[in-house]
Amino acid sequence: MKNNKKISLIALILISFSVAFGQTVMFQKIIEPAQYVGRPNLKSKDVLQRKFFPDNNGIVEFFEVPSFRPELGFRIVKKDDSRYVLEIKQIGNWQEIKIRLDEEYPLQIPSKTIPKEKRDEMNRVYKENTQRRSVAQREMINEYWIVTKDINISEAFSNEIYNAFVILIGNYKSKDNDYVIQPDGSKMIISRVQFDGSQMTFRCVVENELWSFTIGKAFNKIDKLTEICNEIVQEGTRSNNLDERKYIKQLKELVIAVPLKSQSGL
Amino acid sequence: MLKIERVNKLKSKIIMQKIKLLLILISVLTASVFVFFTGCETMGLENTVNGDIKESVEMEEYILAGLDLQYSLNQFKEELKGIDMLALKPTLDAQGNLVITIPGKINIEEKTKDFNLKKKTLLDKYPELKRMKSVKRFDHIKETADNSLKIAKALMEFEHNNNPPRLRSTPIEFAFNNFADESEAFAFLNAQIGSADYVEVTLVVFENGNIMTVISNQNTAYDAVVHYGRSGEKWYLLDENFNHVYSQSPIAYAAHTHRLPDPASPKDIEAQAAHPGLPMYIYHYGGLMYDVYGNPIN
Repeated sequence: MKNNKKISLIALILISFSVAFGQTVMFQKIIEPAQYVGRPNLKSKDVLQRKFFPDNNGIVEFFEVPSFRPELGFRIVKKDDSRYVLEIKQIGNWQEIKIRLDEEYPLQIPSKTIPKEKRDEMNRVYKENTQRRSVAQREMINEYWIVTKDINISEAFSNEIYNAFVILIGNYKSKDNDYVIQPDGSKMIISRVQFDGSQMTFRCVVENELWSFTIGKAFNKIDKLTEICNEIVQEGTRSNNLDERKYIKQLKELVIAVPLKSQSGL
Repeated sequence: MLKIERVNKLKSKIIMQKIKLLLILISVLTASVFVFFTGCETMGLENTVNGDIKESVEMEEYILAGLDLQYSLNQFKEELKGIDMLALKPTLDAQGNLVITIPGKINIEEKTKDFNLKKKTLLDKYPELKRMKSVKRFDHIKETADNSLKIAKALMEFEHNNNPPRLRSTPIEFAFNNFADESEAFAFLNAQIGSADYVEVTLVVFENGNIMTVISNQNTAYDAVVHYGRSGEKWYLLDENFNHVYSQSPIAYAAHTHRLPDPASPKDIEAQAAHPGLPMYIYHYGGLMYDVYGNPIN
């Protein structure tokens, strides 16, 4: 990944805010070389991510794995002619593969009115198909083809997204307690549970490092960043122009204004 | 002053009438799309269809135009919500008619024209479609749609645009409901699953027999959030500030709804693994529950 962002950005991270995020959710932050032995380092990317982003040429990458819906993402690349291009990526044949899975491994839930014997048999098939479908789904990733839509964007917009990624990933800390003290003085372990929903990966290059940050629902500013990224994908999918001013404003507000601790709910 | 007020009232009246007309237009267009998908019944003529209809470009184009129109109408409906109708000012057009221009990006007129044009082209080439029974015609449309990569792509795009992942980042709030027994709670969950504005619901059954449902303001049709607390080996339901909810009884089991027969997602399996001793089930319509590994719960 080629990146000419200056050290000053690192300084900006250090001085921008030092308040820790409230943390009771699972996340993963990986910092590794962007290039290794003359080749892009793709170690932190799984099979599908490599299909979406086969190299590290993006200034930033956003990748989302939603439950029950197709994976999607975008990256920003600087072209040789100095244009900044937002590449919105989706799986072109997701629906087709889902139909195939539905046909090969149908998931049918028996009604309570069906006789017990038949219901037991249907439940056995349901469980078996659930497991076989899960394996098949992983194998079918190789058959996915990725559709890319390119949209020209301004350097200012690109920089703002980059800053938000670097600052929010850089500042993400797991410092807060995962318990609360009860009125009787005892400790209670707390858990914020997300059923279904999305798993996001935010990636950016800082100097020669590749920063990858993977998280589900975060209950803090990362959620706002996800919301902005979702809107960018949505607007970019249906139109060829983005309301850059709106996003720039939101991204600026995201990295400088709101005290983070108040958002954590802790 | 009074005159101005009267003029304003008149303007408002005209605007409201225009809005009504617009809504009628939308209803008519929606109905036409519905008719397009379901087909309209014709008197019992036998079907004599050329085998190539289902693979014809005309049929494919017709379906795509219908999808585009349907999607545009949905978009238009969303756009209308954001428009302050009373702020719109009527103007005179070249013919001297009083018209109101509604600001928006979607050109419904164009989409409708395109749809009608594609329909005409299809019917010109295959006039037998006019005489065909609606069920049969629907089968043709479905078969074309199932076998067309172009339509699959368009569907995916429209589905994505209508239902994109959209995380809500506002501070979390929970709504809790109490129920007298499981059957009452199940009836509530079934009604939620069947409702048009469905979001996932979490059912919590306590060891003392209390039953509650939890819906957060961040839940969507594709995810749900809930707060639990563990003290010793027991799990408790907590509110947004991590205080006990209602009863301090431990949880016997919890379940969240899935509208379709989808099994547990990887996140559900992860959640179960992180909460040993707290059974977490998937609730399907009709009171049917499964654990995250697909085993039925009786």
